[in-house]
Amino acid sequence: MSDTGFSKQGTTLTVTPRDRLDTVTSPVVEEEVLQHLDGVKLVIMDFSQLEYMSSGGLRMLLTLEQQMEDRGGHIEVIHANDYILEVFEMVGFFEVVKVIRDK
Amino acid sequence: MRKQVSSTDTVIWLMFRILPVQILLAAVGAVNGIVSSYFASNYVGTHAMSAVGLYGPVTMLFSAVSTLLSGGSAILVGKYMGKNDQDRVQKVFSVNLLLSAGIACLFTVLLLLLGLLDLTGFLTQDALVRPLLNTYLIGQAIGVLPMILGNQLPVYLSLEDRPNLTLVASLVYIGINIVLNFLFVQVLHLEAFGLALASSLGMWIFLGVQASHFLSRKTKLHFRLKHVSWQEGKEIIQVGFPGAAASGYQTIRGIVVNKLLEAAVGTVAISAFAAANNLLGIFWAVPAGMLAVSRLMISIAVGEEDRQTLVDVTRNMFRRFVPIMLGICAVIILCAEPLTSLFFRDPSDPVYEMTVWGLRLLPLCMPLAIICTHFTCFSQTVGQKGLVHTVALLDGVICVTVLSALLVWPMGVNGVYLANVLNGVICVLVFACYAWRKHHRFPRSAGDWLVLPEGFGAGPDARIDISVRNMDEVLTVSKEVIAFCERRGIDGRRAYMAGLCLEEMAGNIVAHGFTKDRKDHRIDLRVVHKDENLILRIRDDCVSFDPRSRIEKANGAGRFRNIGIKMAYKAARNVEYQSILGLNVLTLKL
Repeated sequence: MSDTGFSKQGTTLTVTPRDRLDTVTSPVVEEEVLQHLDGVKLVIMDFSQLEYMSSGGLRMLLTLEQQMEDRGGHIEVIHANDYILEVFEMVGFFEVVKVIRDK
Repeated sequence: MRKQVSSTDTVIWLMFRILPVQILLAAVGAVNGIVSSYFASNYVGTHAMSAVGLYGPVTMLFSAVSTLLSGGSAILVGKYMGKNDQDRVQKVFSVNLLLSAGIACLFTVLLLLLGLLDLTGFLTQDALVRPLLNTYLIGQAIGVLPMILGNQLPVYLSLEDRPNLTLVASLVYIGINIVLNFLFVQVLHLEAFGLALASSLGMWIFLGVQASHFLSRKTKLHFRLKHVSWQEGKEIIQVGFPGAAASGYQTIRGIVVNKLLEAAVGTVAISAFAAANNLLGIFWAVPAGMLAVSRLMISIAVGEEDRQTLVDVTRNMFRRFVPIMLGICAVIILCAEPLTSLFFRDPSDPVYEMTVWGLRLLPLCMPLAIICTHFTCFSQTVGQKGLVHTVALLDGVICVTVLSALLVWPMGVNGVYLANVLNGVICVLVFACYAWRKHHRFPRSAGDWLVLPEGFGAGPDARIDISVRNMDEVLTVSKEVIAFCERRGIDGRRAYMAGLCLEEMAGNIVAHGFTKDRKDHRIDLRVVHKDENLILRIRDDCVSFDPRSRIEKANGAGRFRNIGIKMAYKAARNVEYQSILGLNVLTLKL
């Protein structure tokens, strides 16, 4: 079990992973998210508590996006720090997953 | 927090991995000298043996030139590979081969002229020996080009992780030499010409086996006339000259010592000294091989400004190479009498006792030579020219001749043996004194012996070494690297990217490289903070793999494949990959 936060309002699930999404923590978080997806159309990944994300985290997001597309929904990423945003830019992530930047 | 581990184990493993080939290469010359002497003395006669002996100084000259070119090239190529400068490596390779071929052709013409026109009067006036010498020179002329070229290639083969090809070439050469000597000398009775022809044709095979790698697609080194740079040629000669000069000095030393022995003791002492040296020749391959290994490691480490590896190589020399040599020396000393019996059967003959003492005293030079040549090579590589030339002169001629002149009269031939040992002691003390002058204390550790240029490398606080053997260890890499960067005051972005790059690349290696075979593997990661640059180095011992090839393949197949490698390449300002000595080395700069 990770210490990821989950809150559900209607068809929106907000997921707040903490500290790191890497090769070890990402599969755990992914599994937990999948368990909460009944009736969900929008998954908001709140990265306000996330300090570090590696390719493991990116793969998790891509998998979740695919899962949501299959369900007629999608995911959004919010409150990602500058370094994580730069990583998204490097791999062309913005074209696949909706990322809302902080103003 | 996991304990940080240096890459000392990798250095030791590397040094012993390439040592056998280097020893065998050095032994080839000694073995073939023994083969030639055996066939000459047993199947041709003493006059042919004299011709072989008279050719000795010519061999030393060719050896000096070959050493100059190969030694200078080895040092330069190592440095350039350490700096990831592939362009200059190619230039050195091309000009090295061109210079070697050109000089070899000149020597070939010279030998042919000497032999065909009977111009060998300056070597001997003996009417029975001279015709044999002339035909011997003609036969040797055929093998000069492959000999000089063939002795350039082992360095490059080692760097391209093909040292075994030199091993194969050496073994084939020994075998071919024996067979052809039997055929030409014993069966066809070609006498001195047959002796030389056997050796020469064997040399062409030696060259051909090694050269086959550079004609294949596996090599990254290509001879191209457009790559030839005379500036690099000049560098090769300047860097390699002290090594060659040492050979030249030793020739002078040999002549002077022989004259002293003849005057003080008699020609019997010269025979004993020569016999002891011939027998020890094969054992000298061990220090020669150890030097070749150290030279390669030192030059790469200097190019990378890797202070730790220099210390590791030096420490390994003191703690492993020297004790191994001492063990071999003990065996030689214990076997002095049986070894002497190979050449002289009569113990009552004065030459027997003199040779035995030679085999008891001269081996003590070998461990001292290992230390001395290690630091000579280091000084050559970092450009301490004054020290190098001073030691070359002391070691090459001054110490032995002066000490021999002092000791030969009261002690006979044993005085000359002792002079050689004391020479080794003096040369080691010269390096110790040089280090003392720099550090203001007598060297106590491996690092103390090394006098590094100002600003060389990064201090211990400015670098971090992490060793990874499994995926669990990968996962803590980014945290340790980010923590190091924060301690060094590096900006958050570079700290984050440094941790990310290393974790991604190490994770890929563990996931894909470690699983290619059943062997244990390790990854050595290093982060160096120097002059506001952040340099990341990832070194692993898996099968040769250039990560860029994955990016190029993935671009067509799917943009989210190999994300980790793509992220690392985009985060870094500069990425260089090399395969050195069987290791994958990836260097990223942020």
